[in-house]
Amino acid sequence: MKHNLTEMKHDYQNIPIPPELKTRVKQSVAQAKKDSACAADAFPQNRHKATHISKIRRFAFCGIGSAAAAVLTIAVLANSSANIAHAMEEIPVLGTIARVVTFREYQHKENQMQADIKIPEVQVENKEGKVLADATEDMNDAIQKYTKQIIAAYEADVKAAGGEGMQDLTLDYDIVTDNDKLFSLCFQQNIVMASSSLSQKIYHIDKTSGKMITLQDLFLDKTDYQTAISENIKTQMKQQMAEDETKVYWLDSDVPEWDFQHISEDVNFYINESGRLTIVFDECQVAPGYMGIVTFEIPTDVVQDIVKDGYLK
Amino acid sequence: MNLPTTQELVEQELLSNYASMYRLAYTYVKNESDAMDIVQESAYLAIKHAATVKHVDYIRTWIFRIVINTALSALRRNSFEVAAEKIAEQGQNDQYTDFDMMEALNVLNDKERTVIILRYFEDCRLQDIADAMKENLNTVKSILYRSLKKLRIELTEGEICHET
Repeated sequence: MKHNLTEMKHDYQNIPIPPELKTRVKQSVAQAKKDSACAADAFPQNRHKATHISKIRRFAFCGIGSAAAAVLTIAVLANSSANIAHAMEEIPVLGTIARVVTFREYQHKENQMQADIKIPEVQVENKEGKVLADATEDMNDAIQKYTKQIIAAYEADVKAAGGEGMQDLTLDYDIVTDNDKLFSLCFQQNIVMASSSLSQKIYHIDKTSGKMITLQDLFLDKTDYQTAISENIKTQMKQQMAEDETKVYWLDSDVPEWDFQHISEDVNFYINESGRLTIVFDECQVAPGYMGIVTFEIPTDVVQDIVKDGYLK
Repeated sequence: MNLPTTQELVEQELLSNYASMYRLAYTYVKNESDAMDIVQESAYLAIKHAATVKHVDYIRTWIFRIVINTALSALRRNSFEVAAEKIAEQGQNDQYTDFDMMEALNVLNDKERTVIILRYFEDCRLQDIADAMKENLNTVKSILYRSLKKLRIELTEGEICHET
């Protein structure tokens, strides 16, 4: 008997261990830590029902069912005259003040479907405290359009599910930048179904000029900012993957069509506290879903020659 | 302060025991890709629920318990019934495993198998096994006794077949 058990133990211990197992365990650990950290904004009962096995297996294939939400960056510029704008660049005093004055909330709960959407209202004022109606309206229209779209999609899901569905949608916002030059409002959308899908959308108010802009407005005309930034991101991806084996980006991967090539014109961005351009990618855009929302801080010297004055440090 | 410490301990245990977790899972699902999924799933759950660990000494057996539960619920799901086809699809070669051991374990029910593996293959203490399985010590002992008895029959039959 003892002999047989020893043999069995020997056989047992000879079960070969796949070489990639360790990396995959590390990935799970990283994912679990991330999920625990943001558990407060999620609904645990839904998450626990999620079949992590299939979720984990599909990391590499990135959420077949998860909606890759559209990403758009709209910048609202609060001042109207180019002359004034130019003059202000030299004066380190706030020309306009943009702030969130109030917000409305869309809440819905029916069986296992629930949504909680916060819709902020922004007010843009000049330094005398007068409300700049156009700028305020532009910004709020953009926010309305974006949130309406999300609510419509959610309501369509509720209807389609006919009371059977499980979904938890939250949309919250955060002011990510508020410096002399820019006021940026970041929306974070989280859809939890079987797995969760996180996406962000950032609106900017330029405090020293007066039109809606995208990332390219930070740069001088006809300069190839996209390539400069994209190449830097690729370098950062490679470096991070070399340093930490749990990090994975789609770059030189087995499936070339998923590989990160180029940032789009409407890529999400913000200016971080150090005054550096930070590019934001939604879940699954450039990396497997477990990496979450990924951001890359672009060293200013990479775009030094092509960036307009005053935005970056 | 207590919570992150436990989580770190769980992480350490996961990294030093993933091979054992894999073997344990393998005895249930009997193929590489499903066993890896179960280990990943278990690692995820262990970190997620690290805060519920009451005694840090039991983390290792607690992790094995998670593996077992995960493996069992995986087996209940239909997708695992076609496990053999999955391997073929992924173009992996079958790796050699001595199926005497696997077949022998098959005569045991889930509880019996757990006790045998933890006691003899992973060298867990009976008391730890009892804690991990939420059974009392005497129950575990009787499961162990019953399992050994069953195994002896199976192994003996196997040997007879080979010899004749």
